[in-house]
Amino acid sequence: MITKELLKDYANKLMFDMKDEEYQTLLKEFDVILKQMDLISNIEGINQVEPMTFPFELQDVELRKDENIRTITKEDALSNTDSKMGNEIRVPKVVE
Amino acid sequence: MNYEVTIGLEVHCEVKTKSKMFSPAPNNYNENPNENISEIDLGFPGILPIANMEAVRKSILMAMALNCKLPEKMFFDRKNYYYPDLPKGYQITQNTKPVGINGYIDVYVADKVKRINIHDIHLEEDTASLDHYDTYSLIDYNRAGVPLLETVTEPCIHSSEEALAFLDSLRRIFLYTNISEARTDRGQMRCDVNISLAKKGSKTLGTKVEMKNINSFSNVKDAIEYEIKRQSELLDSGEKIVMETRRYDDTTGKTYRMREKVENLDYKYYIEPNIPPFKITEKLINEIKEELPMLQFERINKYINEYELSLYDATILTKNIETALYFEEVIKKGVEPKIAANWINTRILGYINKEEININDCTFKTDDLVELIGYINKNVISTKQAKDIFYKCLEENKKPSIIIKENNMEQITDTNAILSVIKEVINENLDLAKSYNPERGRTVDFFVGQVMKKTKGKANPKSAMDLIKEELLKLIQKN
Repeated sequence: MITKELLKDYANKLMFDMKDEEYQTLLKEFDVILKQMDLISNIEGINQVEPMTFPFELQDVELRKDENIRTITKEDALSNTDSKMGNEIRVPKVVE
Repeated sequence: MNYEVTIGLEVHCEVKTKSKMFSPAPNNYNENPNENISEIDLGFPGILPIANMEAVRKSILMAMALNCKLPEKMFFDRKNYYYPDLPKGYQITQNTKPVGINGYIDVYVADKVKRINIHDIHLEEDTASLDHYDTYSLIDYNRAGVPLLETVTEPCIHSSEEALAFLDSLRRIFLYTNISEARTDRGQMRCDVNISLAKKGSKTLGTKVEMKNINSFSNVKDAIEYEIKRQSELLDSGEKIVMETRRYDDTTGKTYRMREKVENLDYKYYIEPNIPPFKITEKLINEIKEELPMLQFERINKYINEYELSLYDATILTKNIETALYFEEVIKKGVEPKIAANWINTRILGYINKEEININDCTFKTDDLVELIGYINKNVISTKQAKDIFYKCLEENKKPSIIIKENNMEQITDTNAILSVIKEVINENLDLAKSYNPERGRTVDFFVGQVMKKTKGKANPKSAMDLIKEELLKLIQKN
């Protein structure tokens, strides 16, 4: 059962909050989603079905050889930030 | 103490490869920030991570070394959390199917064998490193994407000694197998400690306290001992332990509360859709098995059982694989194991530790040791001379035979040659010789000394002593 309190708790864990009407919308959406889930859960033998994580069973997956070292330049890397110090990216302090 | 301590460890160790786990950027220690990076490590849009074969092989090798069960396929998962050290917003790791589960290793804790059960070992990418200052933090992405193996033990460790013995053994496995350099001083091996105290005899575990990212083994020991003391004092005074994450500060030797751990963070794990599962074939398993050397624990037991060495000697000889192989080569060439162990553990390791070099870089090779010990056995040189020759070989980078020749150090073993010197010495000290009393050894000692002096220490002392006794006896019987 999804309640407003539960949604509020999840939102807080993800560090945001919503307006009351947004919670109402979300609760209605969850109601539909859960009903659909119930429908699926009631399909006979569903517990025996392995979850599908990939649509195709690939037989010959190649991994990358540990060679051909390549980097981007430090300048390129740092060009995406407007907050740097020396060659490092500067962010607000993230520990107390 | 009225409490039983239970500890579980999570050990992160960087894997030695040329490139990173999912990107072609170099995996090497670089003091200059943000130079070892590619767009994959920075989580740019449109990137496609491809797993590094070498890292995958090494993770399977480590899973085998820890006697783990391997999965049929290599899967990766996304672990979602938001923090600046993780540019993608998720870490690629293994959650559903780790590379190894349900393993164990046996370790020596003092002279007792303790089995440490391994919950799992999984392959993942390291995060960027952060430096924190007063009002800001700086990010260096060099470490982001470095292949990392996390070994998680079961809560089966009950003292700081056991924890340390396990960490040391684990580190030796990484080194023996060349999976990692496992250098704690470079942060290549880091440890999280989970510790709880329960009343002795209690069937349930106490409240768990977690200590994160401890970067040296001695700090792990100190942190555990501090926590045992802190928690038992709290329990003694009737207080409750709070489930929390604490930080160990090595300058004060104390742990400090970081945050209360209300419940496990929800990382919303799901299988990484960008990396198709990779089948771990029988062929691959067999190939990797070939690379697994005999590890320290088995070697220690072999040395004790087959070579009759002490646990102490066997442990020193097996601390690194190069020394163990050196020792094994020497005994394969016919030297008595105990003699070889003595020479290696005292002289050779003493020298290479002082010089801070690897035994393979030492100029005194196994053939030299075999030759030198051979000369002692054949009475060509004495043990004392052998020590001098050993150091001269190292100093001058020459073979023992050359040093012996150049310094005219061969022992005189020819009885006639020794006898003529003895006769000379007796004639020079005839009165003393005539007063010889076989019950008292001091006269013999004096003559041995004189003979050694005249031969410049080259007479074989045992032969000299036997011959002197004979000659003195003959002299007093004649008179």
